[in-house]
Amino acid sequence: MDYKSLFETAPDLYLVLSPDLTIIGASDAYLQATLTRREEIMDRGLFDVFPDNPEDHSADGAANLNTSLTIVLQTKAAHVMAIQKYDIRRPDGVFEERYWRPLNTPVLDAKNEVQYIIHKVEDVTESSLAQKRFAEDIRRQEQLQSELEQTVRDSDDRFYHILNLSPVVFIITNVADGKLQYVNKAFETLFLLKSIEVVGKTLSDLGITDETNRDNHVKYVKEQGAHGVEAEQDLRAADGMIKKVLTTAELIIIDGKECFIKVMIDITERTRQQYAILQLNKELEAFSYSVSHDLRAPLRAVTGFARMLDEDYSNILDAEGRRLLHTISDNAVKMGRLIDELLRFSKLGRKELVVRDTDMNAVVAEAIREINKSVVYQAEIKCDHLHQVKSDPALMAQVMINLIGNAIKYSSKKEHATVEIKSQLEGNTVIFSVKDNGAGFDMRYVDKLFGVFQRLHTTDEFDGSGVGLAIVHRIVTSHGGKVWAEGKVGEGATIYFSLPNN
Amino acid sequence: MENLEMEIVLVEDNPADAELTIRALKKNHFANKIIHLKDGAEAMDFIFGEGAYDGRDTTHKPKVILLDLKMPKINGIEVLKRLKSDDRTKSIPVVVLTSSNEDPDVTTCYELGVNSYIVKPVGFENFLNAVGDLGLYWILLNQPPNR
Repeated sequence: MDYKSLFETAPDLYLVLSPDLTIIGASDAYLQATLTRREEIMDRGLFDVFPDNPEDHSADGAANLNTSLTIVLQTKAAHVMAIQKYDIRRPDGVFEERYWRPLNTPVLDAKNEVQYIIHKVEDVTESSLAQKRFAEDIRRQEQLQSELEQTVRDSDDRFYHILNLSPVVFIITNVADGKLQYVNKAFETLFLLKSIEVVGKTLSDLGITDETNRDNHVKYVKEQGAHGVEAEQDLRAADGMIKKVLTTAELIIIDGKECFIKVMIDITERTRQQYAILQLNKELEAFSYSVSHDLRAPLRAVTGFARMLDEDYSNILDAEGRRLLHTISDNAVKMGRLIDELLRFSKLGRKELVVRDTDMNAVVAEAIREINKSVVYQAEIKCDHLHQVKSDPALMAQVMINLIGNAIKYSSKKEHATVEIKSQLEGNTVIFSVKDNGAGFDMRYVDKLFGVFQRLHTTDEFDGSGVGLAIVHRIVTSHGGKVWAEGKVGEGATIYFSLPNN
Repeated sequence: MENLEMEIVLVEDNPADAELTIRALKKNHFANKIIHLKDGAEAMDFIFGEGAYDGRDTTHKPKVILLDLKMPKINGIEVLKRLKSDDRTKSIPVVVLTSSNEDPDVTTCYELGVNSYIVKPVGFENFLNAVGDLGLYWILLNQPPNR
C-alpha cells in the first residue's frame, strides 16, 4: 500500500512533526486550509512556518501550541487543545483570522520514545467567528443596557426637575394605607409643608383632609375604574387656610402596590374670582333695576308736571315761556329713552343665545312689521332672497329692526329713498348687508359708528340715541360674527354683518 | 257715607305719580270715585278693615284697584298675593302700575293672578285700555259725573 499517498490525501488536516518540531509531513487538506504548499514547509521549523500574527498583540496561538507539544513530548500522551485563534499568513503576507481545534498525538517507537507527533487540527473558524459575534452582541447588549439605565437615571432626574418646576401639585399615595410616597415642590408651596415632613404620612395625619374624604375618594376611583377622576376638594394648608383644588386621581401600580397618582390644581383664586364676578353681575342687575325704576320716577314727574303747567297755565305763558317748557319736557322724554336703550343694551350682555335654524327672510319680514308699527316712511324696501343661518332669531330680528330702521331714518330726506337688503355666501360665512341711499357718513369716523352713545349726526339732523348700532355690534359679535360699514357723505351707507354658516 | 261711592282704589307711594294718575282720571270725570292709599300697609288695612280703617264696611268693594309695585313696607307683589289668596278679595280686579314694559315683576304678577298692567306715566288712554281689558269700561264710564 502506498501509505504516503493515503496519508496525504486523507480528508482531515494532519501535520507530522519530528520531536524537534520540524515539519516532516502534511496532508493536502492541511496545506489547503493553511494556504501553504508542501515544498515550502517541509523540513522547516513549525513556528518558523506558522508564526503568530504580528498585528494581533494578544495572539497566543504559537505559545499555546508550543506548550501542548512540550506536554506531549514529556507525557508521551495525546493532548487536546482548546480552540485557538491562530491567524494564517496568506501568500501576500496578510494574516487571515482563523480558529482551530488542535489534537497532538505522539507516535512512539519500540523504545517508547516519541518518534513523531501527529498534529491534527479542525478548522472551526466559521463557528468561532459566530461565537465571537454572539459574544460581541452580548457585550453590546450589556453596554446598551447600561446606557439605557443611565438614560433612565437621567430621565428620572429630568422628570424630578420637571415635577418640581410644575405649578401643579403632584403626589403619589399608597391606596392601602393612604400614606404619601412622593410630593413635589408645588405641594410644599401650596400646603406649606416640607416633603420630608409628609412622606410616610397620610393627608389626614397632616390635617389636610379627613379620613372619610379619602375613603370616599378611594371608593369612588375604584368604582369608576382606574381612569382619571376629577373632583373639587377643599383641603387645608398648614396655616389653616382652605385651598380649593381640582384633583385628578389615577390608579397605578408601583412595585406591585396599588398607588394613586394625584394631580391637584389650585383653583382657590379662580373660584374666588368667579364668585366675585357673580357678585358683580348681581350688583349690576340691581343697578339696572334701580336705573329703570328709581331714575324714571323723577323723570315722570318732570314731564308730567311740565305738561300740567302747559295745560293749566298756557294762557298766562307767552310763546317763549311755552318754548322753554317744551324744551324741558322734550329733554326729559329723551332722557327716558336713553335710559330704556341703555337698559336694553346692558340686558343683552347677560342674555343667553338660543341658537336655531333661522329663516332670515322671516326675520326681515318681522322686523319690517315691527318698524311699521312705530314709523311712517316713504322708503322703498327691496329684499333679496336671504340665506338661512343658525342664530337666535329674536336677536337677529333686533339687529334687522335697528339696521332697517336706521336705513329708513337716514334716507328719509331723500326724494326716492331705497333700502336694499342682501346676503351672500362667502366661504364659511354668510354676509348680510343693509344699504341705503341716505345721508351716509364720512369714512374717517367709521370706527365711531358702533360705539355706545356715539353718533355721527346731531339730533337736529336725525333723532337717535347712539345705541342701535352698538346693540347690532354686540349681538353679531356674540354670534361669532363681524360688523363693518361703508359710506359716503350724501350718497348713503351700507352696514355689513357676517354670521358663521354652520 | 262717602265710601259707598268709592269705585277706584289707587295704591301709590310716590306723591308725584299719584297726583299725575289722579289728574288723568279726574280730567275724565272719575274724581269723586278715587281713594288714594299711600302704601301697601295702608292698602291692607283699608281693604280688610283693620288698623286705621277698623270698622270699615268691607263688603263694599272697589270696582278696580290700581296697584304700584315698588312701595316701602309692604310692596305691591305682597299686597297682590294677599288680595288674590283671600276669598273676600280675590274677585276684585287689580291693575298693576309699573315703570317699564320689561319689568320682570310683571310676569310674577300675572302668575299671582293680576288682571292687567299699566306702564307709567298713566295716561288716560292707557287707563282705558286696561279698563277695557277688565270689561269694566261701561260700569266705570256710566257713573254720572259729580259736577
